[in-house]
Amino acid sequence: MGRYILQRFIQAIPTVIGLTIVSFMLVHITPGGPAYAMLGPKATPARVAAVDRSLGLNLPLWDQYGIWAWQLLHLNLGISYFYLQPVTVLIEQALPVTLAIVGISYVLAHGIAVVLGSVQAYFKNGWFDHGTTSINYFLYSMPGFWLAILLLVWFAVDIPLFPTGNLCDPNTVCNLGTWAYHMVLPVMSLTIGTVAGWARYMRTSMTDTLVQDYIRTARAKGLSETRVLFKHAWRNSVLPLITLLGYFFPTIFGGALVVEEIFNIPGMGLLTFNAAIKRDYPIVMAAVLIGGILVVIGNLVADLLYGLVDPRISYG
Amino acid sequence: MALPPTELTANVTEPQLGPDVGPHGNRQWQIFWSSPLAWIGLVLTAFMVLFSFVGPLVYHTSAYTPHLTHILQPPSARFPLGTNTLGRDELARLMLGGQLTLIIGFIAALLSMVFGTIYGLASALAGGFTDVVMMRIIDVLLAIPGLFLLLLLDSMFTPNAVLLTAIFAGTAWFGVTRLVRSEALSVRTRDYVEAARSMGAGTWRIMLRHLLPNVMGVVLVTTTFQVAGAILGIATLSFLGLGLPPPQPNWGAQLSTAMQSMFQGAWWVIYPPGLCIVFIELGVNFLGDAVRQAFDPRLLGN
Repeated sequence: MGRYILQRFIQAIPTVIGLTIVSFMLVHITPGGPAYAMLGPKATPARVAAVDRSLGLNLPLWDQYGIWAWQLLHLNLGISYFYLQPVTVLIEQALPVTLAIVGISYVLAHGIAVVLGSVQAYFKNGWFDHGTTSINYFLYSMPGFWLAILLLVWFAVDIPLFPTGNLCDPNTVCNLGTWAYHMVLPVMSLTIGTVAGWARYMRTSMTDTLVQDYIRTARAKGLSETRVLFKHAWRNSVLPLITLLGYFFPTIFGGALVVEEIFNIPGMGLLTFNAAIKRDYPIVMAAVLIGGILVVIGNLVADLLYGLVDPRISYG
Repeated sequence: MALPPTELTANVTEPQLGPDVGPHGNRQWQIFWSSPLAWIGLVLTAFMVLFSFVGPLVYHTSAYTPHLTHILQPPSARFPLGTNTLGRDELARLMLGGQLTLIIGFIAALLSMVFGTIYGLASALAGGFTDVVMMRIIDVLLAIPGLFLLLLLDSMFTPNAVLLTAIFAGTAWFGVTRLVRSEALSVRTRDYVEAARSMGAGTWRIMLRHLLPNVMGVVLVTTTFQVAGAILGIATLSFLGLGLPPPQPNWGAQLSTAMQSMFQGAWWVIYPPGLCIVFIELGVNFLGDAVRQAFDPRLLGN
């Protein structure tokens, strides 16, 4: 097991190096440098050249990459052109917010999808199954931002149950309670769409499990239906969902961006969005890199979890 | 958002091949047409296409003229779906907005299919170290959250229709590639490919004549879902204010404007654009599922 983990880590290294190259190239091969964005109408060739010099943008690309990568190794992601603060500081504030939204939604979506899919499979082709499948199709085809707007209109405007945005009211004390209160709608927006995608996989998986021989054996032994379903069938049918954990990670990250934009939540998504529009290169590069690394880690964890849960896979 | 193509099915069921199903077999199309999903999908998709392209021929109101005395009006005889905050006719804008969305979505999916297939086949054929490097590149590209990539590319240029198509095609093809490659790898060592090679067939010939027909099923399935993905992507980018510049209408941009009148209870600007997106997404997703049932070799025989 230890050797396998090490091996997977080593395999991930080229991917991460690739990510640094891609995120660097993406912002450097494109026209319209930050100098123009910073200077605005005051841009003259001389001023642009001066800004480029001060930011090191006049150096050859490979030198720029070298400097950036070297600083990266020291966890120095540069200084934001606009906030004039170190990018690491900005990300330290924003990343936990996004990880919280994504993490909570992930766990909730997983739990709900597993239960929903199992019940669907158990009552296959019954009214519950068909009803849930139809609703899921609809929710699945719904753009995340529309769902968020609808939740906002229904539960914050028409029936003012929840706040329309922000993480904390400026007028109230910020504690876990107010924080959770502000999180309800964003997390709901992200969870509902994800459940719709996952439940169908759980349903397929559970359907396949329920016809296995050992399930028949368990029933023949006289075990109760709940025991058969939750003890014997469930464990095996959850396996494929673990692979999906890694697969859906980039999608959920993108979803978080939209949700943060709508609810004005100061997470990575909002930070990246604003930075991309202002061409704040250091933030954008860091965001692409961190997003990518999180996905790589997500896949790694999914792989290892798979091995932990499924005794048939040995990492010898 | 495309569904992860049958990874799960591959895990759960043993891969089975149907009895004597040739790559060009009609049996797949029979399965396709006998599926109710296919028909519902076709009807929904056709409805949205007609709505967007034939609609403006029937409904003549301009999508651009601001009626300054009729700002944010509820549906009436003159404006069947009301007006927005600039006094523009919502129905006309919905129709016009659909046109570019559909065109960009379909073309982007086609382009990404072509490029992704060629790359995947090339990687499988090359094998060895080249294959490893080519796939590592795909790993890297797949790891970046798609919306981040779109956002970044889109914010760097002034968006126009051609550019948007290129960006969507450019960020979607790696998903196809991986599937095509793994499918091609399983065919590559078959006897008939070896035979073709020993008879002196060139790389391109083997690729086009022997590998391509065998991966077409997977390609067709993924491409259908990519149309859905691209349409959703266009709507999302437009919603974020990074789509085609105004006054060009788009469903996503319409919803973004609608948020400004959220507190005025203007339901007619909030529901119709969203429903338009849901209808076309549903239609394409249904079609995709029907295509998958018919063409995915891993599902054949089930």
